[in-house]
Amino acid sequence: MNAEATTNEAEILSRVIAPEEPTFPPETIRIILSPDFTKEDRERMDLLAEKARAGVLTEEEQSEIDCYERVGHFLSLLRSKARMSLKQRSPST
Amino acid sequence: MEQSFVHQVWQRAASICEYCQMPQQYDLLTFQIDHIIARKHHGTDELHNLALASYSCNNHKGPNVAGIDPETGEVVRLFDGPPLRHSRIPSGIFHFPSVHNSKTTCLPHPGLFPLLDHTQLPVSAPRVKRSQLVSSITREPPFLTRPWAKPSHSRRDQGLF
Repeated sequence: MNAEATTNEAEILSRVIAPEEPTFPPETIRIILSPDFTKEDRERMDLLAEKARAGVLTEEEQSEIDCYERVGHFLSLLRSKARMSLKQRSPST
Repeated sequence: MEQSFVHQVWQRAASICEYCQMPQQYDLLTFQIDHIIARKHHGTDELHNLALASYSCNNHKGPNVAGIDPETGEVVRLFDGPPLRHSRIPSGIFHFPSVHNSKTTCLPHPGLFPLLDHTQLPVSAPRVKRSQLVSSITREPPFLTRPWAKPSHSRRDQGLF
């Protein structure tokens, strides 16, 4: 059921965020570049990834891993746009 | 797995996913060391069986070794050459047939369509169209020095695989 929805999700996100357009102001750039997953989240993600490699994820764990991926993708797109904006403001770097 | 192997895999791959070519520096999700032929299928911990995989590719590939070409319906190995052709180019990226020689075979990207397992198929429904993310994020300079990673006008951008 999620196949179609999530297949389009990345496209929608990309269109909404438009990471190639460097339009973020400096304050926004700082805010966006600072958040990260917690140590506990990263450990959990590694554990889930190991289970995925072994093909032993439960349905709940699959949902969990999907959530981590979605959050990661969303933040990665935002960060990309933030870096582009930063670069735009510092053309010499 | 030996820690030195982990370092070597990262170095060999230049911190770029060997499946989708996403650089780790642009992905918040930590890349994983994947067994190309999974332990489940008696794959070893030797270097030639290890690949750097983005978090998404790692999870979508799982223990699988092949995928279905969405255009032809044919089963295609995730890596070109049974069992492995050791075809990493100098930077450490695998040669995917469709990317590098424009043959009709589609890249069986783990995130795009169901994969085949030796014992069970299909095991995974398409979820995230990761190629779109890769192409969006990697438009950001200075990454685009690798011709196969350029997002514009590629089969990947056209959603063909």
